[in-house]
Amino acid sequence: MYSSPVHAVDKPGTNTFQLINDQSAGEFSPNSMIDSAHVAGTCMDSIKSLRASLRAFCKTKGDNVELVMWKSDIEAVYRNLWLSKEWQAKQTVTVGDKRYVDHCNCFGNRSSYKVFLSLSSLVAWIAGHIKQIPHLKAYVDNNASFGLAGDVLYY
Amino acid sequence: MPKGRPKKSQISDARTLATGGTMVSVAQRPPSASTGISAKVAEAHIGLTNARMEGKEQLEPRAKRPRYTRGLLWDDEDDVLSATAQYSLTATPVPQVPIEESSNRALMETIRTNPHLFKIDCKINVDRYCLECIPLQSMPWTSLVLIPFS
Repeated sequence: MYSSPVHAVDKPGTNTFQLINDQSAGEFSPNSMIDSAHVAGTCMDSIKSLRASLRAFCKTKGDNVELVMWKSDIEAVYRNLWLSKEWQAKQTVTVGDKRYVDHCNCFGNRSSYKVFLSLSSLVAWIAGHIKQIPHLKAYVDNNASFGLAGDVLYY
Repeated sequence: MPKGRPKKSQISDARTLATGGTMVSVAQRPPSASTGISAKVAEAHIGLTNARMEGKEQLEPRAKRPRYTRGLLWDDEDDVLSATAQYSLTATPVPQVPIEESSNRALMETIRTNPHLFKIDCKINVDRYCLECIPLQSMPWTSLVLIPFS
């Protein structure tokens, strides 16, 4: 079993700390066991993509149409994804004199985004093609889009 | 010897002698030298030419979209489809546990004898997820994504 160092750093713009699970530390780190080529080629929907959708929407609805934009976060993002028990053995965390096995996808892992994207990209596809939510953009744990002003349902 | 520039008459004489000497030495060079150089030089030249052409092709869009704009210029040809959603159509399948790991006796014994330490902590609504994926079952990658849920 492996135990990677864990520490905290200041979280920019807040008075809180950010947990760092350094899976790149050491000669036999978990990240050193992951080939970068296997986790390459991922993607995100940038602000440029959102702007392109806004332009396309306004072309059909008119430039003076009033819009409302929305954005949502996915709580705990990568932590929603679980890992095989074989990999869990490679990411124990030491706190004091005790060790804990981390069961979930870790922020400090090289393949975390790739694992998360395998699920989130399919959810984005379902949202667009099955649920017919147009112009949905996904940027890691942030989803954003827009609609006509007044077309809002509070819950 | 006198210092400073040589006189005009002296230069004229020297040039005549050098021309005669060069003509003789070129004719006597072995032909292998030019044969050996030609392939590498030709390849290097082609590579150099291509690099220049690529550079020229890259310069044009850079001129239209300068770096200081940080990619925040748009035109009508920009893709409005979600790159994230499209990624699911071409992405490689989620890898399974490598055989070296599942055949690691020490590791598998540790997992078997300590079931309280290892567990699958699933926070996804699997039933709902699989239900939404039913129309996509024909997509080969989808079924591979669903393996961990089953």
